[in-house]
Amino acid sequence: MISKKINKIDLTYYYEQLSNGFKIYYLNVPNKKEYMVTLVTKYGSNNNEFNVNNKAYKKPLGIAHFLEHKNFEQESGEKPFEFYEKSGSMVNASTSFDYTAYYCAGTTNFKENLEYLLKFVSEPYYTDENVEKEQGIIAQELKMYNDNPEEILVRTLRESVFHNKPVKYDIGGTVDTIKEITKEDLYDCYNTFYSPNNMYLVITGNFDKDEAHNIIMKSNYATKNNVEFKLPEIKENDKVVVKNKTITGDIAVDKLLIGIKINRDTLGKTDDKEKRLYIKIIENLLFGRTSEFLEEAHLNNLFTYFEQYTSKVDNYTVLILNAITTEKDKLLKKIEQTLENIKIDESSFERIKKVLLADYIKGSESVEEMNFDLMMDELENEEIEDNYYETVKNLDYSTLLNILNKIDFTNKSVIIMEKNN
Amino acid sequence: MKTTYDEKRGYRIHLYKTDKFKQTTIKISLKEPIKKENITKRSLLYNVLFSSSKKYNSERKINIRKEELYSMNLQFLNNRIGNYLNTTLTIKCLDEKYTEKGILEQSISLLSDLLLDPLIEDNHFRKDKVDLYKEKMKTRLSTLKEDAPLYAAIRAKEVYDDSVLSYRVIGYIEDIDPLNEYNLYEYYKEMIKTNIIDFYVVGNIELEEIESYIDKYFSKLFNNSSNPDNYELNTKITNEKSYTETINNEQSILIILSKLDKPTYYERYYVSSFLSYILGGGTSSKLFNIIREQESLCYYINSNYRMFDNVLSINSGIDNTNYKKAVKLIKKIIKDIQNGNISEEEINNCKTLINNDFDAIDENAASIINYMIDVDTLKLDELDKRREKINKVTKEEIVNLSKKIKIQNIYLLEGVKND
Repeated sequence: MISKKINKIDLTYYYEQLSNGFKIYYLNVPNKKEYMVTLVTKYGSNNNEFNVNNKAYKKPLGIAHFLEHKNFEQESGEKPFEFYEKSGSMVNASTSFDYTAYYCAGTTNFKENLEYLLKFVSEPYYTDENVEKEQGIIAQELKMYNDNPEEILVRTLRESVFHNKPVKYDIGGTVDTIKEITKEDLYDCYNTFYSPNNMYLVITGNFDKDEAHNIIMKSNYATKNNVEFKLPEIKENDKVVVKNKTITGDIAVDKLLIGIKINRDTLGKTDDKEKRLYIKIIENLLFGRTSEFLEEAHLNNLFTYFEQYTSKVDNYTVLILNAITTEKDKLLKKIEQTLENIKIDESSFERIKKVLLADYIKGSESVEEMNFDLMMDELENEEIEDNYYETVKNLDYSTLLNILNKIDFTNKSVIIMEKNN
Repeated sequence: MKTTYDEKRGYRIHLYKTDKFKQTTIKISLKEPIKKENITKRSLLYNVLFSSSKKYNSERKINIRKEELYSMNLQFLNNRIGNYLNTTLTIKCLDEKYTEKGILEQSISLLSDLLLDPLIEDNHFRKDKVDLYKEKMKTRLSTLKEDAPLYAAIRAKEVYDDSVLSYRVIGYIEDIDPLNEYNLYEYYKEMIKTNIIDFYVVGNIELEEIESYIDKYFSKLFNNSSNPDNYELNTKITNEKSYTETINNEQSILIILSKLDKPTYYERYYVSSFLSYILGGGTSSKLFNIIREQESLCYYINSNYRMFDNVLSINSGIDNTNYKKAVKLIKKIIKDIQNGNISEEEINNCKTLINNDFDAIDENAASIINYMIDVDTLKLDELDKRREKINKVTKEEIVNLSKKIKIQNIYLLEGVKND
């Protein structure tokens, strides 16, 4: 077991990898009674096509999410939800584009809860009946999303930005695709992607790591074998698919969603993690709460709601601007003007660095946030970021300007949702 | 837990001192008896007030200041506690151990600027600011229907009756136009003078120190309002009604509102937790197991009981074709509980869950503040007493309370897309 201190936040994490490739991260957070355990497979909605032993598989869209629901089914009839509620703990799961995570949290029964998490996820039980039953439940979940105009807008943006990346499809699939899913499909995917070398465990909060280690060594993950799979290589064009698209919806006020597509590989030799930080800072300085853009657009009542954020898809980052507006043309013009005439001063840059550092320390007192951070570190970098503080401190203004110059801000999709008449 | 209240001041300071956290949290709460005509005004007021001050005359300047104060977090919110309208302003600032000396005092000073030193001209707010936020508020309120579950929750109460229960705390579009820079400023002055004001503080700080800062920066607050004895709504029981309206959505939202017929204090604050939990509190509740897991009718279904309102609400998203079936099943589940179909296991799970929640109160600042509000302000029992009472709740008591469930309104926001 390797131990490493995380700079500046007074925390130390431990790491080990079993002989079959299964990785475990342990992080105690002092002064806490709660713990959180997350079991992750690097398998999400993006992976519906794969190859095992030279056999190619293509599965219905939404299958990873369906699988997540179905892994709560046990042959004994026992229900994981009930198991955890008995001790006043919680259990849940979520599916993303590139991972599926099962987590439990509580203040008591750590040993039993960890043991059971490792057990129930590793013992799938799919039948024709329980698959059919789930179709009704998931159909309601998907309809709930379909009724949310923001979801429709985001979906349209994903389709407009990416040519081939599977993130253009919804994580949950559609009401039609999930009807095609059979128990055999589920077993094919489970047996492929729930292999120990494609999975890892993150434990944070209040627990005894030696006790945790012993439980893991007795679990199915200590002895399970791997299935090797291949994923198709997906080529992506750096340009967006569609520059402008207008759709309609049952809304009272128009909505605007813009995605600027950036291939980070084209931004020079800076380390990729640093590039992501620079883009985050640029996003904040151009459109964030202290930007001149936001103040002017606000005073001219060009929006009712505005937010900006970034989304990472492999080597791409999409800088996203989301607005509710009664003045979409003026707002768009203002955004264009801002992008054509970018000004970032050094003192603002230093101030945003201070914000990143302060937010990092604030986040470090949350068992849940630390769990999520570690999970994302392994997913994205295959290692824990233990020097974030220094990395942010050392970001420099000239590199920022250099990266800024390399970004093509015209490479963007503009999606407008207008109200139905 | 140490709490002070000095009559000389127009406010009370509640402190929980702890070195567990890396941040200090301060929440100011301003409360007044709820009046329908003040709700929209209040909502507009806090948007105008907290977006500028005399010293920092724009949102951008406030945001820059917050960032300089090591990303100080500031949130404001309007809500209703029983028959009181409550506005809160919460800041979280990083401990000086990680920043520099004086940051806490400077943060408190910013908080005071926002609340007590607004941007005014000739005894009124600035017209341009008020007009801007009026427009934004109108637009925002006009989009309410896009969030179908929220819209349905509001409408289910509105079509039921016109009591306090039905008030839209987010405000009313039709009440916006009459508001202006003059009447809003008058209302502001009245709020400062008459509202019940509390400061809740969680952090590694001595009482004397936090008192000295608050007294220094909030000396303008002086009023004689005292904390009321009771926040409970008076609720009348009526006959069961049903109401349906349509929306161009794929899914329908079903909300069943019930009241409990004359519950005792003990039933309202203790036994009700068990009833609501067993009915639809979690993923092993009867509603979840039957409506979702057995019948596949929904993705979500839950129930919750609001103690001060005495309202038990069941919420779910279903297909419109399953409306009758779902209502019938839900009624049957309630009937089953009334007939005593509750296991010891369900009761024990609920006790464990509540006891765990009690143990975890001091895990984060928000739950500590909620506890201070419960005990100091809302006069609910202290933790030891709560534990004792919770652990004694019996099946018989839960069944008896369930017999007091009176369904009041079965509301359906019917999704008619694809019909």
